[in-house]
Amino acid sequence: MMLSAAEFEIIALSLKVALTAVLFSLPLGIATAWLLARRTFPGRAFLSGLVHLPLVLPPVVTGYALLLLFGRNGPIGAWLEPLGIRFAFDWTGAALAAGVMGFPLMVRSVHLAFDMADPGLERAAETLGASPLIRFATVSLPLALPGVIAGAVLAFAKALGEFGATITFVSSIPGETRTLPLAIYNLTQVPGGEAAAFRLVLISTVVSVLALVSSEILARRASASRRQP
Amino acid sequence: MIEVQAHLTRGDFQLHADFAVGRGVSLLFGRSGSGKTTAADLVSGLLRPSRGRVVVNGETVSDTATGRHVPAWRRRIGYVFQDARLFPHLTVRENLLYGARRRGLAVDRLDETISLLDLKPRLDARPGVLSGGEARRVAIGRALLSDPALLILDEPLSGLDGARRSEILPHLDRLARSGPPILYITHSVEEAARLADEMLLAVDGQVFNAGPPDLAFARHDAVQAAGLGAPISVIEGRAALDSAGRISTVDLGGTVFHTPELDVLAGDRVRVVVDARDVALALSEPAGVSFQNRLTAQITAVETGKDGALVRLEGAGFRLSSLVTAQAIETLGLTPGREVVALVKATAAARYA
Repeated sequence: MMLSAAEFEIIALSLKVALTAVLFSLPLGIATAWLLARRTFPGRAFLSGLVHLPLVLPPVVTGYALLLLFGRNGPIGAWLEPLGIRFAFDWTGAALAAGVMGFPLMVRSVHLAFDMADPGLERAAETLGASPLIRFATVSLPLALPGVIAGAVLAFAKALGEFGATITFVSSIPGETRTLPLAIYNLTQVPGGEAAAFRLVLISTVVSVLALVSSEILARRASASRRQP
Repeated sequence: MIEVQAHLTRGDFQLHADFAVGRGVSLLFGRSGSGKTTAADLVSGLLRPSRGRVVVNGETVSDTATGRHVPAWRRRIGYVFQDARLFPHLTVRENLLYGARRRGLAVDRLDETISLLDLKPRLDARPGVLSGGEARRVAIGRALLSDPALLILDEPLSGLDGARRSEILPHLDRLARSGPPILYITHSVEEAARLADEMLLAVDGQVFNAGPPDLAFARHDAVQAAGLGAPISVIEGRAALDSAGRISTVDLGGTVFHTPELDVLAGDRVRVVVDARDVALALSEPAGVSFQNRLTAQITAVETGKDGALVRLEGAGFRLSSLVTAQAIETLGLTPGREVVALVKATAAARYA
C-alpha cells in the first residue's frame, strides 16, 4: 500500500502533534505526579481534581475551555500572543489539546510508579549526601522509569486518537490541525469518501500498534535491571 | 560528639531525648517501639524535633529556638538502615560509590572498603541477588564511603541467622575500633555487651544516658528493657593463656577470671557477661569447692527488692552484681564496705566479645 502525498501529510502532522504533546507534558506530568505522590500541601486535592478533569469532562467541553482560555481573546492566549506563542487554529493548538487530554493518563501512571517506589530509598540517598534534586534524578526517577514510559505511551496514544477537544479548540484545518481522526471523520462526511477513510483507519491502526509494541519493549528493558527479589 | 535535648511528638508517640555521648560506640538500647530509631532520626536529620536542639561534633544541627535545621544530606552522618535499602537499579559497585560521588571522595578508599568488607566477588551484582548478610555489608560499606563524621547503625544484625551474624560481627568490631564514632541501635544484650562504650537507654519514649555497659546493665530499667530475669555484670579484660596453654582466662587488671575456652587470641580485649543469679558470696575463701572464680571484692551497696537482695561488688578491675536472698544478707551480715569473696562458676560466664 503506497501512501499518497495527502496521507503522508496527515500522518506526519499527527505524529508531530502527538510527539509535541508528549514531550511538553512529560516534565510537567512527572513533576505533578511527584508532588501528588510525595508531598502534602494545601490545595493538593484541588490539583489532583484539576489534573483529572479532562478524564471525566466531555472532550468537547475541555476543547471549549481551551478555546476560552487560550483563544486569541482568552486571558492566557492574549497574554501569550505578544510573545509569539499562538495556539488558536494552529497545529500547536492541536498539540495543546492532545496534551491536556492525555495529561491525566500520564500523571496517573507516573503517580502509581512513585507510589510503588520505596520512599525509604530516597531517605537512604539523603543520608548519603544527595540534595533533593540529585535524589530525584538518581533514585526517584530511575525507579519510576517503567511507569514514566508507560505514561508517556498512554499519553501518546491518547494524543494520536484525540478528536473532540481538538476539533472544538482548533477546528479541522487541512495541513494545520487535521490529524488522523479528524481526517477520517471528515472523509466519512463526504460522499464517496469511504475508501479513503478506510485506508486512513488501517494506517491509524498500524501506527497505534507500533507505538504499543515499542513501548512494551522499552518498558521491559527499563524494568529488567531493577527487579527486586 | 552528640548532644540531644529534644522533644518530638508524632501522633500518639512522645519522644523525650536528653543525652550526650562522646567518641567510640554509643549504644542506643531499648525494646522495639521505645523510640530508638526516632531518636536516631533526630540525630541524622531525617526528623526535626518539635522542640529542643541537637548538636553533632560541635555543630548545632537542629535548634528550634533559632529555627536552625541542617538537612540530613548536609550532615555527613552515615546511616545503615535496618532494611539495608540498597538501590535496586544500581550494581553493588554503584551503590558503594553513591555517597562517595556526592561527597567527591577519592576512589582508592573504595578498594580499602571492598577488602574490609569482603565484597570483591559481588561488585557487579544487583542488590536483588544478594544474601541478607551481603546486603548489610554493602549498606555498611556504602555508608562508610560517604566519609561520615558519625555512623548510625540501626539493628545491623537483626533478621540475620547465627552464621550471618558471625559473618558481620567481626566487621563491626573492627569498625568500632578504627572507624568513625558510632551510634548503634539494638535490643540485643549480646551486641550491647560486646560493642558498647557508652549505653543510652530508650524506655517508653524517654532516651537518656545509662553509663558504660557494666554500670548500665546493673540498672533495673536496663534489665527490664532487656527482658532479663536479673541484672548482669559486664566485665572486661585481656584474654590470657592458662597453665594448660588454652585461652580460658581473662586478666581483668589485678584479677584473673576463669571462663570457658575463648575463641580469641591471647592479649585481645574481651568482655564477659555474668548473670547476678550465678554469683554466690562467701565471707572467706572456701576450700574444696568447684567455683573456679573466687574473687575478693568489697560490697558497695545492697538493694533489697521483692525477688531478693542485689549486692553490688567492686574488686580489682571489675564490678559485679550478686542476687542473693534477704535471708542470706541477714545471716552473713552483708553490709556496704564489707569485704567478701564472690564465687562464680567458670561455665556461667558468657563471652560476648
